[in-house]
Amino acid sequence: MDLSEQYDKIYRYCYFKLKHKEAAEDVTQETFLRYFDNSRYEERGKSLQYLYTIARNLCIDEFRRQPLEQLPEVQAGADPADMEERVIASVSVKAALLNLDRESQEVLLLRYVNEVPISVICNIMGISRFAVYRKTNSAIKQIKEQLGREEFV
Amino acid sequence: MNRKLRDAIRGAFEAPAPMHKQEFLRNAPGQRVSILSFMLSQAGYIRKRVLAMSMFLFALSLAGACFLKMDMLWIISAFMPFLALSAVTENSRSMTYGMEELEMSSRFSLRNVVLARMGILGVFHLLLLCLLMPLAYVHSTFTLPQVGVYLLIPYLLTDVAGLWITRNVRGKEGLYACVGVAVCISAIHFLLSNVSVFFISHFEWSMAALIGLIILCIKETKKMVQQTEELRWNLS
Repeated sequence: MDLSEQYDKIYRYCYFKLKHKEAAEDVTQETFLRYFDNSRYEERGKSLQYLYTIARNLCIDEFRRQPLEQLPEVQAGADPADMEERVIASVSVKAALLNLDRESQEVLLLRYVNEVPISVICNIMGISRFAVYRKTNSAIKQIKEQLGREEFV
Repeated sequence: MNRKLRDAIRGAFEAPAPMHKQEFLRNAPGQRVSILSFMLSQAGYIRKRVLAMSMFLFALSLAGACFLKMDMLWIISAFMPFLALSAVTENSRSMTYGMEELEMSSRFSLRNVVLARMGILGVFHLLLLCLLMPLAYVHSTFTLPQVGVYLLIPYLLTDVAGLWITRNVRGKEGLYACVGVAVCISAIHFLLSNVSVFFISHFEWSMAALIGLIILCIKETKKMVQQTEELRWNLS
């Protein structure tokens, strides 16, 4: 497991859950510390699932402890001239994503952004493989309908 | 889903850059060992007799080629099965001595350990083969590629047979069967030196046999690795 790559993915997942930069990073680091503490899970083939499960539970705990004030989603350090078309596409997709339910958003994040295997997604979210496929397909269909742009269809 | 939409979804989920990532990774308590240090640590567990066998074969070839000035191809070729035998018995050591369960609960899984040791021995024997080839070629009537093929065939044949046996026959019986097969292949190769003219005129057959053996060897290796995964599943 590439630690640096997984750090980014878990951090992205936590940020999606908490929408708070500092809290997401704290939870990410806590996730890894707990993962390392439990050495029984080393090399047992379910490390990814274990990592996401810790992150998910910690995000829930964090949210319960104190509902976080959401910060405006402005990306620090992002270059404004960086690929204009991509940004426009991202913004319209982001708007379309906001119309989806949280579970569908989570499935899309795990599957297409963090590239988590479907079997692992099933176990993290506690849903069947069929449900993952159904949620993915309906979410994609919904996004495409909302965008209505030829290039995405 | 087209690529553009996938990229747009990735962009939409982009999070701001983490601030303390590098600092955390530098001080992370459970940093895993690198592949190189893992391989080096596993190299230390390979039994010395495996290396001694390789050294013996190299010394024999060197003596034959440089001092006795005789055709060493079939002699080296006859010893190749024992080289393969040493590798096969090393790879299946935990199975032979019924230690799979213990090794599976150790820090590194049995599958990784077996793969690492197979890789180390494979590279080591490949280097040895590169050294043996010119020694076998010096006083031989064969071309260099032919020498390579006739050294590889007995090695791979023993390897394939050995991997199949250790997969199917448990315990020390498997080990004895591997020794028996290696002795048979070695004896056959030694006898083949009497009909070397046949091999010069039918090199394409040998090439076909070599390709077939390489494919079989890959298949057997995959099955062996798969078996360690099944064992892990059964024992977990």
